[in-house]
Amino acid sequence: MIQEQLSNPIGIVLAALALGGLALCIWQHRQLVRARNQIVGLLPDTKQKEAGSLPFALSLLDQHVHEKIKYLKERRQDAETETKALSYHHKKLLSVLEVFPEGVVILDQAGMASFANRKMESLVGIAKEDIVGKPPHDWCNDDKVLNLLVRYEGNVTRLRRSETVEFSPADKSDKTLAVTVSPISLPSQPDTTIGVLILFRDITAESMAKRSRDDFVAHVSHELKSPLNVIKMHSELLLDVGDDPQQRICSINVINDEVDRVSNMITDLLNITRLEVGSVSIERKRIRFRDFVADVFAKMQRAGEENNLRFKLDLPQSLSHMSIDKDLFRIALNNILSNAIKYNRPGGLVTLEAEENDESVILRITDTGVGILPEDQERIFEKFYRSDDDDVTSRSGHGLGLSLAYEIIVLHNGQLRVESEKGKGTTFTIELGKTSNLLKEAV
Amino acid sequence: MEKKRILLIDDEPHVIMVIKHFLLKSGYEVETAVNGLEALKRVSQQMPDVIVTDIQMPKMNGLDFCEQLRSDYPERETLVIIMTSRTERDFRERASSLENVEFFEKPLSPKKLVIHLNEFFENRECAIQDG
Repeated sequence: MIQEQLSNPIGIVLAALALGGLALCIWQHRQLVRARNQIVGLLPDTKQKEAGSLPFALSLLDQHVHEKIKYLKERRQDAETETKALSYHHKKLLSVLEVFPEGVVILDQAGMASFANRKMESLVGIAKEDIVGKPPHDWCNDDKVLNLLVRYEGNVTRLRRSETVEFSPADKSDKTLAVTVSPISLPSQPDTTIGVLILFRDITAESMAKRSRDDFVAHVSHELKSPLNVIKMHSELLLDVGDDPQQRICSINVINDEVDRVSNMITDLLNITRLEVGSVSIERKRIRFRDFVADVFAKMQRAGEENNLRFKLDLPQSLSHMSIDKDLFRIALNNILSNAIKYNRPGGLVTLEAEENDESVILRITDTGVGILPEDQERIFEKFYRSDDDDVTSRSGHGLGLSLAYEIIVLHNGQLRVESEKGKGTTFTIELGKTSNLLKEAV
Repeated sequence: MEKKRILLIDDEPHVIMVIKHFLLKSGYEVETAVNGLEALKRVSQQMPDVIVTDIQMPKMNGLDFCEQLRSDYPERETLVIIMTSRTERDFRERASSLENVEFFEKPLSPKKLVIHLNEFFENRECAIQDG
């Protein structure tokens, strides 16, 4: 039968077609299986088992893709929010750096300035626009600072620890600035430097305070060593002169005077230092001011009459009671009066007058002595100031007495002024306000 | 032997008096001045063998005097002994730039100063004889 059919050409064609069709079906089936497997492969592991037929797999894939798109959209939103937050924090940090009381410059990893604040202009005289985007040698005009900064140009990783130099800007030589260069690194990578923070700080006040402290110590050591030197000299002389009574008396007197000088200086120095640091609290008491002034004057008069001087006290019949610290005010008045005695001439006159008006009580201490040069009058209340004038250098002194008097009178809310004519004499005027006195007392 | 001449500069009369006493006793000839300006005048009249000076003095201080002396007489290297109580860095730096200068810290022993001068002159005599 088959042989019959096969011998029939139509049968052969039909059989071939049938075989071809079968082969096509098999191939298509394989393609579909491959496609399904590929689709299943795209699905997450948990869903792969659920995917049976191709349509079902396609539907699962569609569902999965939608979930994925939704997830990515949410992530994008999160990322946008995070970017906004980061941008806000970045701007906030820059704003903080902008209002920093110190000049700030940040160098990036290549050593270029990526940030500079406004303070740089007022402090160093360089506008931020002239700094940002440029390397230090383009904007830094101080050799000392540049020497420090150029070391990191192009390679900030060389910086391992902070370094500081001090300098004065070219157009502001009265100012002293400190520049500190510090490495910037991420907390996760502390050993890797990713930039440099440069801080410019105004240390003018600090360095002036340091200088004045150094000057003060130098002055004190000099002023103490000078009388000690004389004491040492005369003590060796005493050992050397044998029985010469005149020389022995002379040396002993000199030693005695110099010991007094050192002692007075230390007392003045302690008082002035206590006043300056505020460790002395002023203890005001309401006193009979007229009696107080007369008493101080009388004591100084007894000491000064040995110097062949005349004394005149000219006080009104009555003076208001004043609220002062008696011990401190006595030091001030004594120092001014002893100057009037020391810088007087033989036979000269020392006068103390007082007057009173509605606002204040005024004391005037006048001498007929050597007078003070105009240039010295401006500096006479400075600590340790002594004139080069022969009339001053020929008399012993340590330049603290008037400074101390000034501090004490200022502490009483008063004023101390000097008027003088060289060769004729000097008047010191103390003005004490009555109102401030009462107010202070009320407080 | 000719007496050695010492120029003593100080504005403190007691210092002058005592050091002068010890120098005269040891056979030195002593001239005095109360500041750098007066000392320059003395030097212009006759150069001393050694100069002993204070630092802080009116009109011209000891350091200005030393600098002026070296500038006026560059060929003379007279020993200058500076009596000082100062220890600041700037002072030391300025003074260390001057040649043939020695320091004596205050409080100063006049006897030790004289012993130092005696040794200085003895060494100089030996150097001259050896040379």
